Amino acid sequence: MKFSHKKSGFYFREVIGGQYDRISMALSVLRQRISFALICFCALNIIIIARIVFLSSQPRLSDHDKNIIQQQNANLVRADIVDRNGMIVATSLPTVSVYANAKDIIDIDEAVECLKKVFKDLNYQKIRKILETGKRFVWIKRHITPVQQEALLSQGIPGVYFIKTERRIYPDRNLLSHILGFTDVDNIGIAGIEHSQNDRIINEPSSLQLSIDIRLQHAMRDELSVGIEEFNAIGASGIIYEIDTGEVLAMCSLPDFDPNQRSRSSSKNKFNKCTCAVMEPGSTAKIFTTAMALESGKVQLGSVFDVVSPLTVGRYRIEDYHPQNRPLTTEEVFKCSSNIGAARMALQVGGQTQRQFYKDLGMFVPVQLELPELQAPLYPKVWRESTVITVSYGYGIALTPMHMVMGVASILNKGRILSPTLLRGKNIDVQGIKRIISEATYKKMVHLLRLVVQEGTSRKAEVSGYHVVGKTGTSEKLHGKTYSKNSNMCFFIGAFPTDQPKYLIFIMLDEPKANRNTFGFAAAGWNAAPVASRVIKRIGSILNIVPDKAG
Amino acid sequence: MFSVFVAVFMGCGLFEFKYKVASLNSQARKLEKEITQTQCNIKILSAELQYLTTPKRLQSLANRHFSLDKAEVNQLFSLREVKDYFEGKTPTVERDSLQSLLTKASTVSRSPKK
Repeated sequence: MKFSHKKSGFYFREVIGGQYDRISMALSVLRQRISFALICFCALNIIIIARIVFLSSQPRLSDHDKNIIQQQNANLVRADIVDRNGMIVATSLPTVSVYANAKDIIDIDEAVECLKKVFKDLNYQKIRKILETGKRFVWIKRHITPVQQEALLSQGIPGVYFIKTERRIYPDRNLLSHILGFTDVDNIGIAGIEHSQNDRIINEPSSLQLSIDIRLQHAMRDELSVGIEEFNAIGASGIIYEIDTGEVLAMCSLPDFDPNQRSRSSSKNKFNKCTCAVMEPGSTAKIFTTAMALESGKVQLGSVFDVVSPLTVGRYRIEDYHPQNRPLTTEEVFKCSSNIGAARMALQVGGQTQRQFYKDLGMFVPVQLELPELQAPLYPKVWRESTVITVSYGYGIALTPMHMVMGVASILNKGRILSPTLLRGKNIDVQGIKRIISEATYKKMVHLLRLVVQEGTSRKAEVSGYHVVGKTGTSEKLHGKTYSKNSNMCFFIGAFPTDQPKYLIFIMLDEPKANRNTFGFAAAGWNAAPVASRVIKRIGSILNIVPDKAG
Repeated sequence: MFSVFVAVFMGCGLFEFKYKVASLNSQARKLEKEITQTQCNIKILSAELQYLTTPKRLQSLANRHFSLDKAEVNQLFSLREVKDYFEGKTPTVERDSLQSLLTKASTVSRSPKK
């Protein structure tokens, strides 16, 4: 019943009225509180209902799907490596690996028996022992084939699972083995560019571009293989180098290996002769001796040297491979590759200048190349007169082929010393390049190197139309403490075209043998020089060099 | 009463909105998965293509299917020389060698190796 105090009398107004107002106010507050509680209750219910509806309508992402997405995103992290023309030389492909959770395996014997049916080559005793320890994660086999995966699925072994992984693939197989190196089973680079550029390859998604051209690399490898077969050599190495940029266009060392199956290769095959093998450069060192002598100003092209009277170092007598029995000019000393002449030239300049020249050329430290497999040269710590004489014609100092290439390239780059690189564009805009010889000496050296190919010991390196410049070198190998007359290292180092040498070619044959075609000779002019000629013939068109048909 | 109505209305709106977001999210995840799969496939195909076009393989195929020898230095001409040849400007010696080369090239292209 609704109560109205307006209709009541005095008693009601005066006595009960005050009490009524208080009750009415209390009821009003109560109503407000109930409404508020009701709204909160409804809102809470709506939220709960909405949440229930949302969760029930949400398609459930299985753990398997989550795994796939996470793994696909996480694993494909190693960037490709491409050659200078963008051809892929190393890439990562998704593969599947097998692991086991020993806690989930019901019968270990049965599981091992089932695994045996799929993988014949596993060490099952070892796997059984690990499974018996009850570990939650045990690798069974990494990088299995789709056929093996299907076979394993059909076995349906409880507790054996697949995980998506990534595997490094080298499509060109042996072609770039020593340059690229390889990764371990966890995809971490452990040799070659893969190791030295590991952080770059992992952290940057864009491809890593090498300075190598696989067409040139193939031509070099192919011709070196022919050379090994023809001269029955035990190995070979070759480098093609762009003189004005310091970029290595091809670098090949034979024997080599397939980085896709590196475990099957011996350490001998994995040895990179271009950067790890140190060898006495033989007569190719006369390039440095002559350049140094001409640059010093103490020797001119027309200077005459006595090569008739013998030169002795301690108990050793220095002789010429092609004795001329008459005094020779600098040109003739270089052309005929006279050891006595080179030694007299170096003595005239002095040991200090010679040592400094070699130091400036970077011949006392490992080359700055993007490979972990680098060898430091071997050189005498005390530079005696005997050192001056032997180093002048390439003995008593041991360099890697890359050192020889860098040194000769510096001379043919008008004296500008550039560090060799395997990365395209790295040496662009290099500031503060040190010069080792003047332009005048550079021109004299090009003239002398051309003379050697035209009339001297490197005639078989000539390619009509390209006008090759270069110098051969033959050094006897050291067996124990004595030099062997029957095992030589033969080199050719040269460049083309003559008017402005742009590409440098280095060829090394390890222990080539004489044959009928070489008339019993095993010197570099008979083996390394013709191999270099064949390489130049093949790569000229690839390098877009138009031959000079006028001769 | 009004506040209850607003709460219910907002709840429904929120439900609809969230449902659409969930649906789009699901689609995005599916697309992401497809993109990853396609990227993997592209990588596999690129590797396969590179393997099929390695210089060694191309050389062995060329040796097997073409009757061509390695190019000699005197067979190489620049485009300018070829242009000059057709305009009659090239010196006689080069004209002869270029002419014989073009004749041989046309013969070889007409008669593939059997």
